[in-house]
Order: sequence, then structure tokens, then C-alpha cells
Amino acid sequence: MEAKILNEKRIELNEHVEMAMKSSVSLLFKNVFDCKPTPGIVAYGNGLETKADLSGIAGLIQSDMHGVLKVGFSEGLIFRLLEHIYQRKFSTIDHSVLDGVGELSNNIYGQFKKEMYDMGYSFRMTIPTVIYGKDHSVYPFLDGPGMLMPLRTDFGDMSISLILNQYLY
Amino acid sequence: MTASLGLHNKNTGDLFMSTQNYKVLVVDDFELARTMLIGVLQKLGIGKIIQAQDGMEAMNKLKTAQDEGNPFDMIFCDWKMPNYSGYELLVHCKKTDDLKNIPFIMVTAEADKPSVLKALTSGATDYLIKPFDAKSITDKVNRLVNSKAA
Repeated sequence: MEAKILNEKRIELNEHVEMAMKSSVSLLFKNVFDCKPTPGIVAYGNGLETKADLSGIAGLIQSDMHGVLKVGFSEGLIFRLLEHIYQRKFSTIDHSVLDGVGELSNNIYGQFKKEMYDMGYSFRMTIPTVIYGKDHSVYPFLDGPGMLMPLRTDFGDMSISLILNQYLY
Repeated sequence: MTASLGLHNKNTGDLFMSTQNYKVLVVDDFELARTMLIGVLQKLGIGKIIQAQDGMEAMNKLKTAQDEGNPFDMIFCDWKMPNYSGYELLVHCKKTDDLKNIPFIMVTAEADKPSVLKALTSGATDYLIKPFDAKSITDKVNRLVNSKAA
């Protein structure tokens, strides 16, 4: 248990998070893939279940709150993104694909953290973990509120979600 | 191996001419990040690009290059890596006489102000934030090449 940091602005699921999610994904696609993702309708709910073929997951930690930020990709999307960079075909999930999901997720987390920091929120993030399996589900053990933003890109669909939980002292 | 980050050689003609003799070390534990960065550096005409997957491998390659009398001209290094981080490598380089003058560009997704300040006050020459675009890399290489030529 960490000491509570005075004046820490606690993260809540609001338009700031929505803006940071949108900006972090948009910057990646603009800088690396020269396209602009279109966000869909954001879903809110408790115990939000998310599905994807490949997911990058990282913990998000404040002094009295923690959460999970997850980026979900379809297999087809990841293959097309990596083909764009490596200039070769991808058809199976190999080390390069998992490495790619990790790095792309990392880029999104870093930008998300920066956007949130610029809006007054500070927090730490864990090293991301990559999960794969066709149409897998991720069930959070956190019972707090969650939000999920689907995004459509020229290369396929993806999503970014955040689920929060308050520490119980 | 080419990464398409929207760079066109017509915008980098002069730079291309002056970077052919450059030897650059690219350090990142992610293959994708190395590939994207190397793709841009190749388009800038960097003559020799060597890769390392972590700080320890990078340190060995830096030492070997020094011993062979063919040192690196520039280092692009990720911050967070297993075994020996980019930050540890930066501190090591700045403490080592043979390495301290090699321009060290910290590459990382940690884009918040405290992280940037920490790298710069520890001796990093510059800072490249992921996801990077070709222009930001070109600008940084250009600046370093020009400052070396001056």
C-alpha cells in the first residue's frame, strides 16, 4: 500500500480520459501509418468485458486507485499494420507479431500518460503484457467502472478500454 | 527492411550526402521499434546502422567499436529495457571518457515532462518521443550533423 499523495488528481472516467484515449491512438496512426482512426460510441459499465484477438494490457497506479488500460486488436488489423512496416506478409502469430502488439500498445500507453499528465493527472504504469487467442475475452477482477472506445481505421478495427478500482484501506 | 513513415529523400538531399560516413547504434528491446527507426535512418543515408536489444549488448558494441578505432557517431536508445536500461546506459556513457561525447538520443514512450527532464539533466543530447514520425528523427539527425560540422 502506497502513501497517498497530497493533491493528487484522481482519475475518473470522464471526457479527459476519452480525449486521452482518442489522442493516443490517433497520434500513433498519424505518425506511423499516415491515417486517422474514427472513434465509435464509447461504452460505459461495471465489469466491462472486452474481446480481441491480441491485447496489450498495462496496470495504471495512483496512490489510492488502480486500473487496467487495455488495447485490443483484431488479428487482421495487426497483420496489416505490421505488413506496412516490415514490407512482408504476416499470416501467423509469431514473435514479430507479439513484439509488434507490445510496442504499439506501449506507444499508446506512453501517449495516454502524457495526455493525462498535461491535464493534471499523474500516475505510474506497469510494463505491458500481451495476450493472444482468437476472439479472447478479458474479464477484469476489478469491480469498478469501465469505459471502452471502439475505433475504426483504414487497416481494421480496434479498441481501447480503461477499468478502474479504488483501493480499500 | 523499410519502414514507411512518410519520409521522402527529396526533402533530405543535403543531409543524405553528409550522413553516409555515419555509424549509428540503435538500441531497443522491441524489434518493431528498431525496424521503424532503422527504416528512417536508412532513408537519411546513414552509412552504418548497428542494432542492440538491450543496454548490456549496446555497451559491449560501444566498447568493441572503441577498441577497433571505429567509434559510433550517434546513439538512439530506448529508455525501458530489461537487463540494463537505456537510462543506465546513458549514465554509463556520460561517465566514460571514450563515450561521453557521442550524441545520445533517448527514445521512449515516456513523454511526460519529469521523464524528459530526467533524461536531459542526466546528459542526453536530445529526446525522441514514441510514436515518432520521420520528420522528428530527420530534424534531430540534421541538428546533430550540423553541430558536428560546425
